[in-house]
Amino acid sequence: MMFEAAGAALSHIATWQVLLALLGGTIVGVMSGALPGGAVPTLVVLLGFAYGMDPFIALPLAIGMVATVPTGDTLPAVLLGMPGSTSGQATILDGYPLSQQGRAGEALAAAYLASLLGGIVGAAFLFVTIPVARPVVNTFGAAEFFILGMVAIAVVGVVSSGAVLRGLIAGTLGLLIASVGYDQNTGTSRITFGVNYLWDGIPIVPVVIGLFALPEFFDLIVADQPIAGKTSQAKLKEAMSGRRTGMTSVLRNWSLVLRSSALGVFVGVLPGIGGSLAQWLAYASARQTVRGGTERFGTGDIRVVLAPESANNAVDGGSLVPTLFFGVPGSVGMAIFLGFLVVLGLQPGPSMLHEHLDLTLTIAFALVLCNAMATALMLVFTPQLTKVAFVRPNVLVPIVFVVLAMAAFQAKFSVLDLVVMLAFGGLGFFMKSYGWPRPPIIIAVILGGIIERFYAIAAKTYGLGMFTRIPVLVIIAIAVGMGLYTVWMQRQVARSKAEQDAEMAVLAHQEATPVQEEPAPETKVEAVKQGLDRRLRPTANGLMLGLVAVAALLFFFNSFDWPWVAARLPRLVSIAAFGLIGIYLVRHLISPPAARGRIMDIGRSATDASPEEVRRRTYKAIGTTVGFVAGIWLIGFQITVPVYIAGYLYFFGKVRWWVAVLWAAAFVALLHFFFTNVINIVWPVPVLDAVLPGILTGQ
Amino acid sequence: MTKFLSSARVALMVGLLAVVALIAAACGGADPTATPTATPKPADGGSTEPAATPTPKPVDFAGKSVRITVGFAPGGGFDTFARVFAVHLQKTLPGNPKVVVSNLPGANTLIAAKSVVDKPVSDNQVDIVLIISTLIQSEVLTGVDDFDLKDFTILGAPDYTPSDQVWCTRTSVADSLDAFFALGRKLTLAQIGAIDIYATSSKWTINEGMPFDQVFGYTGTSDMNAAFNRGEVEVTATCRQSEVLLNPEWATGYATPLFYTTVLPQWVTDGQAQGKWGWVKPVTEVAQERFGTTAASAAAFDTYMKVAATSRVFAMPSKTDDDVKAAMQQAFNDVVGSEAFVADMVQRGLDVGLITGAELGELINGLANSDAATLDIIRAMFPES
Repeated sequence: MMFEAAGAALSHIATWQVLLALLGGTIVGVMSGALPGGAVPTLVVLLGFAYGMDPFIALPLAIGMVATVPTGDTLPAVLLGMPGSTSGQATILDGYPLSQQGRAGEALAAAYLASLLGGIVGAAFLFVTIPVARPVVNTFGAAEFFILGMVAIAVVGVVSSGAVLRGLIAGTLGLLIASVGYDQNTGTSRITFGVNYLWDGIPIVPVVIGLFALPEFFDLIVADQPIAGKTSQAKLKEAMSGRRTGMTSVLRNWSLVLRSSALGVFVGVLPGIGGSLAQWLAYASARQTVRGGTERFGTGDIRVVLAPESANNAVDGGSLVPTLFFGVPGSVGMAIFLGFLVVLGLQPGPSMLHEHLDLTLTIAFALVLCNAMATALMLVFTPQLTKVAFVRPNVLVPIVFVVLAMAAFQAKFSVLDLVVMLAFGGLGFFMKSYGWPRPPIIIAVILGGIIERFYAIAAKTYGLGMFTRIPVLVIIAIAVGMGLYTVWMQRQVARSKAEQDAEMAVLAHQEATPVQEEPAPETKVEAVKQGLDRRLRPTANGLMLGLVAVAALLFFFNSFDWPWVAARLPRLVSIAAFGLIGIYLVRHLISPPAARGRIMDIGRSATDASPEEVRRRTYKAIGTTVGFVAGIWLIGFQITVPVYIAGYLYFFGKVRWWVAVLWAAAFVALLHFFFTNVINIVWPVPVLDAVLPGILTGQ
Repeated sequence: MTKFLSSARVALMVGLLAVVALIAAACGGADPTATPTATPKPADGGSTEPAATPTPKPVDFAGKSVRITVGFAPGGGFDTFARVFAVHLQKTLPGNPKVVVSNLPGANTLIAAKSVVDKPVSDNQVDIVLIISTLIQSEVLTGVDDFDLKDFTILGAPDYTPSDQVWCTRTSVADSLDAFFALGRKLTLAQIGAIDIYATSSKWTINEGMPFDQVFGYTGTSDMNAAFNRGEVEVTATCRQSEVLLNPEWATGYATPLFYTTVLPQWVTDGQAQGKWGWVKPVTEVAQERFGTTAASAAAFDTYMKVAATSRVFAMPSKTDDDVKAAMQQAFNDVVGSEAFVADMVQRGLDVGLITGAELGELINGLANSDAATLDIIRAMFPES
C-alpha cells in the first residue's frame, strides 16, 4: 500500500502544474523568509484562496511557502545581522561577523547547502515515520516537554558565555516577559494594566525584531558605513566569491550538519516545544561538542552557520508529523498550514495515513524538492545578494526600517506592536552597547510559556512520578552526558593551553625582564579608595539592573494577589532575579571591574566619527524611528510610510528626488495592493482620522 | 552602484508582489443571491431582543465589500469557519460583493469586537465580526470591560448544535460508571482553558461533587485527545461524535463513556444497541442520583448549555444601516441553511446548525433574566477572577 501510494505521489508531483506550483511556492517562501515577518503574511494570502483548489497543487504550493522560509531568512541574518523570521536568530551570531569580514558569499553558500541537507533529513523522517507516526508522537507528553524545557534553559547558560551573570539576569527578564498576560489555568490577568493588547502576552515577533534587528539598524545609522566596511572593488569581489569554500565546509562538517538536522526533526515532532527553539539547541549543542567551539564561536565561525541552518530546515519534516496525523501544529506556520488543509476539505488525523496517504507522500516529496529548488535559487543569486552588505546605510535604512515595522505590525495589527518593537529596540541597543547578551532574553521568552504550561500539566498528571518515566530518564541521561562531555572537552582544551603557556613561559624566562617595584602602602590604599569611589558611581549597567529589578518587584508584589498556580513561576523568577542582581552588585563592589570578555552576541560596529558626530547620528536614529511610529499613530500607515521613505532617502540618502518618490510609490503600492487588498489587513484608525475620515486609513 | 542596488531591491519586492498576484489571479473567484428579515437588537442591560424593523428595503451589495473580522489568528477553527462561510456569503448576497476575511486576534475576540464598533460606518464596506460565545456569556454573567452587547446586532451562529459532549475514561482505568465511582479518588481531566464549554460544564459537575481534577493547559481539542490517548490524563470530555471519527479506537474498547450533556452521540447509541454502556445518561441525572443535585441546579445547567451550544457568533455593529443589517441577516440564514454550506462543514468535520440572531437573542435574554440563584450556579462554572 505504501509503495503504491508512493508511486501515485511521484506521478502527481512529476506533472508540470505541480512543479510550477512548487517553484512558485518556493520563490515566495524564500522571499518572505528574506523579508522580516516570515511566511505568515503570504500564507494568509494562500489561505484566502484555498477553498476549491486541487489539493495536489495547493499542498506543494503551501509546502514550498512554509518549508523554504528558513532558507530565505539566512540572507538578512548574514548580511544585515537581522533575523528574517523567528528561526534566523542563532545564525546571526557568526553569520554577521563573517559578512563583516567580507565572507558573506561563503557564509550564505554554506547555509544554503546545510539547509538543503536539513530539509532532506526532515522529509526522510516524515517518510519513514508514516507507519509508526502515532506511537512516536504519543511517546512524548507533558513530563517530557517540561524536562526538555528545563534542559533547554541550560542553553541560556551556554549563550551567556563570557557574561554568565548578565546572561542569567537577562534570562530572568525574559521569563518575566513570558509571564505577562492571561493565565489560562486560573483565568488570572497578570501585569496587563487593563490593556487588552497585553491579554495574550507580549507578542514574540516585535520582541525579536526589537531586540535583534533594531539595534543593527541603529548601529547602521550611527556607524554610517556599509555593513562590510568601506567599499572596495576587491572586497566586493571577495565577498561574492567563496561559494565553493562555503559548500566545502558543509561536506567537511557533515556530521555536525546531520546531528543538527536530527535535533531539528526531534524538536519539530514535539508540538509543544516550537520550531524556533531548534536553532538555539543546535547552536548550543554545536558549541559544546565541536572542537574549539567554546573559543571560536562568536568570531565568525562557519560551523555556527551550519548548525542552526540545518536544524531550521529539518524542523518542518518533523512538525508535519503531529500536524498531519494529530491536527496539532507546532508553530504559527504549521497552524496556518493546518487551517489550509481543512479549508481544502481534508481532515488531519488517521485519514492522512489511509485514504489520503498519496497526498501525505506528495507532501514529503514536495519537501525535498522545494528545499532543492530554494538552495539552487539562492546559490545562483548569492553573488548579487551579497552586494546588499556594500550599500550605503542611508539608502538601506528607510527601506529596512519600514519592512521591519510592517513585520512587527503583523503580530496583532496594532500600533502597540510598533511601540513594543521600539521599546525592545532600545533595550537591545543598550544591551548590545554595554555587553549584555541578548539571546538569553529571547530563549527565556520562548521557554517561559513552555515550562510553565507543561509543569502545570505534568505536576498534576504525574506528580513526582514524572521523573521515573523512561523517556524523561533518557532525556536527562543525554543532557547529563552532553554536560559531562563538555566538561571533559573543556579540560582537554585547558590542559593543552596550559602546556602551551608553559612552553611560552620557558621562552619568556630566557628574556631578561626588569623587576617591578611594589607600590608604597599608602599609594595602594589610595588606589583602592579611588577604585571603590569609581564603582559606586551610577553606571549604564545600573540602568539594566534597575529595569530588571523594577520588573521583578512588579511581578513579585502583584503575585500575592494571584492564585498560587498563576503566581509560582513569576514569583520564583522574581526571587531569582533579586538574588542574581545582589550577586552582581556584590561582585561589582568587592572586585575591580574586569575587562569585558567576548560575549555570545554581536557587538557595535567600529566607527571613526567624533563623539559629537556619533551623538548626532544617535539622535537621528532615535528621532526618525520614534517619529515614524508617532506618525503612524497620528496619521496612519498610508501617509507616514511614503513620507518617511521619500524624506529619508532624499535628505539623508542624498538620492535624486525622483528615486525617492519611486521608492515611496513602491511602498504605497505594497500597502495598497498587498496588505489592504490581498491580505485584508484591518488598519488601526489613526488619531487624526476624526479630521480626515477614511482618507488616512485608505478605506 | 547604489542606484543599481536600490533597483535590485525594488525588483525583489516587485517579484514578490508579482508571485502573490499570480497566485491570487490563479485562484480567485466570486458569485451571488439574498433578501432581508427582522434582526435582533441588543437592549439595555446587556441583552438582545429582535428589532421592530419596518419592512426593510432590498439592498444591492454590488460595489461594496464585506469584511468578516475574525477574533483569532489565521489557520484555527474560527478562521477556517469564516473563510468557508465567506465563500458562500459572497454567492448569496445580492450583487456578489467582495467578501474578505481579516484576522484581529487577541483577548478572546474582544479586540476584534471592539475594532468594528470603533470604526466609523462606511457606505462602501459592511463589517461583520466573528466572536466567541463565551465573550457574550461573560458579559451577561459578570460584565466585560470594553464590551457592550448594545453595540452589536447578532446575526446568529452557524454552529449551533445541542451538545453531544460525553465524558469518557480509559477502559483500563474504569470499564463502567460504577467502577469509575468505586475508584474513590479524583481523576485527571484534560482541559484547554477555564472558560470554554468543556471546562465550564466540567466545573458544574465538580461543584456538584464529581471526582474530577481539571488539568488545564492543552492547546485544543486535538491536543486533549492526544493527551488522553497517551495516557497522560484519565478522563476527557471530548468524546463527541466528530472526535470519535478521528480516534476510532475509542469506540472499540479504548474508552468507556460515562455520561453526556444534552444528546447522545451516534457512537454511544450504536454501542448501546449492541448491549454496551447501558449506564450512559445525562450528567444532570447522574449528578442527581449520586450527589443529590437539586432540580434548580440541573435546570441552571440546562439553561447554560442551551446558550453554550454555539461557540462562533457572527455579529454586526448595531450602528450599521437597518436595511443592510436586515439583508445581511437574511443572507446569513440562507447560507447556514443551505445544503452546500452544510455539506462543506460536514466534509471538514466542523459543527453546523443554524440559530438566528433572534433565537440566540432570546436564549441570551433568558440567561440574563434568570433568577439570582440560577445565575449564581452558572457563575460558579466560571473562574472567580
